[in-house]
Amino acid sequence: MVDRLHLLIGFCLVLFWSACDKAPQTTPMVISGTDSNAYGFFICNEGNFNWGNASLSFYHEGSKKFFADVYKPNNNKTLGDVLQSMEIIDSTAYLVVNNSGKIEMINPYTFKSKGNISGFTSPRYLLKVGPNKAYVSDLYEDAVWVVNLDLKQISGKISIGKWTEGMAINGNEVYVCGRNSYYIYKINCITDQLTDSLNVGYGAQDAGIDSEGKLWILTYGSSISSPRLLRINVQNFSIEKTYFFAAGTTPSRLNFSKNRSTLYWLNNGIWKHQCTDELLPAGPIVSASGRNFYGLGIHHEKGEIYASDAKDFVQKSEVYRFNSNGEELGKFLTGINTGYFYNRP
Amino acid sequence: MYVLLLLPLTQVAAKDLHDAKGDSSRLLLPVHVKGVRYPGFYTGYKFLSLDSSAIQNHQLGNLSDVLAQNSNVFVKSYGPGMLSTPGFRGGNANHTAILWNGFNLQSALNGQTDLALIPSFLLESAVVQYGSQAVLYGSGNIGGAVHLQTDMETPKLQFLVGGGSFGTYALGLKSSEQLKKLFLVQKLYAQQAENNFTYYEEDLLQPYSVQTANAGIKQRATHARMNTVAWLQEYQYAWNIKHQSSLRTWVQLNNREIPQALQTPATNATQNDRNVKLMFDHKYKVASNEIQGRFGYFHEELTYEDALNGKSESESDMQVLYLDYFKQFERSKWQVSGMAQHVQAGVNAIKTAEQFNRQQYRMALFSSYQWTWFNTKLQQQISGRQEWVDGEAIPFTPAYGFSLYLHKYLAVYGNVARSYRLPSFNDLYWPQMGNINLLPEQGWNEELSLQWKKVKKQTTLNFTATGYNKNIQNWIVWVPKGSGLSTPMNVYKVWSRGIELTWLYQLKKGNFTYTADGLHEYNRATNEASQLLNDASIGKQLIYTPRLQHRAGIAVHYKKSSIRLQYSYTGLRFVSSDELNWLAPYKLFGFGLNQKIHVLKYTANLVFTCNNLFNTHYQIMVNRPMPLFNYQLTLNIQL
Repeated sequence: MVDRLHLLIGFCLVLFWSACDKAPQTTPMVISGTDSNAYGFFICNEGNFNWGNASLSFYHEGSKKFFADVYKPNNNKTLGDVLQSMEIIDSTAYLVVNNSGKIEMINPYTFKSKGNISGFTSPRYLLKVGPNKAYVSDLYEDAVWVVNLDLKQISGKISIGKWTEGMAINGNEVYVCGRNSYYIYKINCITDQLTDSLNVGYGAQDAGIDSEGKLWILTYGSSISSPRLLRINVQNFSIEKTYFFAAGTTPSRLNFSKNRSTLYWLNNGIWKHQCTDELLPAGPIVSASGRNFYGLGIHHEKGEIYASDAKDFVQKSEVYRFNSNGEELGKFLTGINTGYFYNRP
Repeated sequence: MYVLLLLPLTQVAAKDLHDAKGDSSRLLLPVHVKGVRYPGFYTGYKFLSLDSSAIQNHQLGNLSDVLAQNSNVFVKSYGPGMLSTPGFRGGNANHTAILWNGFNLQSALNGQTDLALIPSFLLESAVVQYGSQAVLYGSGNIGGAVHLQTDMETPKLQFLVGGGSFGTYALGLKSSEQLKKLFLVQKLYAQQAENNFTYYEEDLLQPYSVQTANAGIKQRATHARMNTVAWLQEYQYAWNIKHQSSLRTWVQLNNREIPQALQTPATNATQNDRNVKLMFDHKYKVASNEIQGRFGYFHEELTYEDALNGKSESESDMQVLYLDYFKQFERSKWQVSGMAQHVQAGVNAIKTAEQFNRQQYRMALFSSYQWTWFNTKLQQQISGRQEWVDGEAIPFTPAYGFSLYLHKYLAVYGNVARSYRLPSFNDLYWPQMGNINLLPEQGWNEELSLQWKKVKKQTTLNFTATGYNKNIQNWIVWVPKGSGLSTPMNVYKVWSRGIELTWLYQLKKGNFTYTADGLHEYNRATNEASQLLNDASIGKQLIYTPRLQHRAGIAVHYKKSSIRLQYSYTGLRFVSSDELNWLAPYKLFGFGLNQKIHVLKYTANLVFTCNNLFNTHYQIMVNRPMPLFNYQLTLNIQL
């Protein structure tokens, strides 16, 4: 009898415990899509590789509210795997979903999906290069994709032979970083022809044009090629100035101020550099101090610097706000692995 | 199905134990535990033995299936036949040693063992050891260990033929022969599976899971084919009454297609594993003294290839030498051992030009002393280990264990032990990302068990409650480094604690034997301190670590037939360290039917098992769907 009693107790324990592992109670904050044309700030959260948990956050200047994810609740579907970057062209926001091999299109005000462009291998960044025409760099395709934005489809491919990364445009010339090469590549965006290349040291990752029309390239280096920042004269496609970083450091995320006269990047802290400076700054304007800065963005209207701390890769990133001198203004939580920021005009 | 091997149940009559044999569950004296190196030096530790009946129900499967359904080891499976790694008591695969005859099978490169690469057919049983035995086994034994038993006591000749869902077929052969002083065993196993399992394509990531385009439409996995060929040999030669030698080899080839995760495009990924394991040991025993020398050689090759990253090859070679001395006194015994190990391992990712090839030397001295008091009612053990890695001493590892009979049916036992985990080669040397300054993870484990066990002629009742506590510092986490790179660092201090309840009830009535059993665990494994600023994971549960787990089963055994119903519950698993994303709990039901058939002098064993009876949609790892209802049918013929 006692034995049977214990048996009963055992089964009760099963039933009791099976029912008691409760999930936390949470309610998604949903922004109604048509409320305002106010200025806003998009934040791309990569999520984790192969987990399909990419998200798009939005800071709404009108209401001063932050929304951790505006895509999933508004479209009732997942965004995809690894949201790498985004670009707004005309009335469409193009979300580059790297490991889903697609570019998701949404209305930047309602956040409603407008379909997607598929067929990419591992897209990284999108750059408008003409009316209804964009280039998309790709991690694995060793090429730059040509996209017809009107038809919402890939219209061609320019073979590069290397991982293509950051891009910048000046007139009819597009400059493409070869992430696993020593080169940047020049493409004529009228003819879609690769016309030239330039040795900049190993690992060109970010590119941009400053207020003087100079091309800036940031490389991440290798064991035999120090990371460097380069200023390039686009007229004769030659290096004007090379700034070397210490070996073993990992500069990344080159950003420009709104007037494009000041550069910012991450390198175990946040660094600021006037385009006219002869030397690299002696130190960062913000030290990492235990933070793992992962993404960087500049709020064009306020001139604020946004830097994300991705922490251990598996929790919400914490985005720090700084003024242009590096004084902390505040911080807020976003999504997992915040890597890219974008100003909505 | 499983057997509790709890401590010193010497009051249990051997006759009762013998009577229980042949049922789905058997209770054994601890001295009868096989497949565990250093038997008798586990005072204060808890074991769970997965016996032949548990193995038999998964002869088309692998160790992952056996552990997932019959123990509270949480198996992180990417899908049937895919990468599956163990973890328990808040630890992960780096903290769970998989031991074969005392040799640790964890990969030098990533510190893990893929359970899917260990076919059940090769095993006679497996023993789960709870808690750290770092003194005996060194690095990587923080949460516990699984001891594989490939028994010499196999039938003279045994054929296996089986098939199951998803185009799975297997053939196996075991034979044993005694030629005077030589005893030899051969095991051959081949399996092929289309592995086109069915699933529902669903977003199960909480809190805001949403409908997918294909929701409600049953899908079939593609590009998931796999095949396995394994050959295991064991030779034992008794030179005379004092000297005995044995040689074991295990050669295995595995080819797997890796299906893509949901929401990601196909990359045609494949993985080929080629493993060679060889061990030789010699035993000399005279009177109360025993000396053993053991040598093991382990070679692993892994080739991964997909359309994006190209081909990546990794290879490791490990040689290990042990010398053990055992001394038996009247009321105590002593063990002292030395170990020398050399590992060489490297990776060559051809497209990305990432490569390294490094080597490491380890040496260790370790010793245990066990003694009894009060007419063996109190048994105690102290142990210690000192290990050197490339000449650098790592902190001394002590341990203490005890067991005490409070009553005829009641025993209390427990242990306190230091444990550690050395960084893997990938942690240390991965190009541009490895960190050679990493410290070993290390900490203390404590546990206390209370066992009530009563064996009568017709009934057996066993109930064990265990509480454990573990604090590990320097927990290694990969964190961002910049430029899209990451690097491992000693980041967390993890506190893991929990309660385990284990029970078994068995009743015999005439030709019927009724059995009910269960395992229940509540675990809290939280990060208590961090090197990261404003780390939101502090005080939160580690990712992929269920807080609750239940396993329960009922079985009826009638003459040569038995049927068993199995239930398992896996609680919520957080997949973000701030507890803001998770996968919901899931419940699975299964049953197994076992029929023995005797024809002339032959014995055949027909086993039919069904898993996921109610088509539960679940994912163990995010975006890796698990199969719906599936079955297996195997026929074992013994000559």
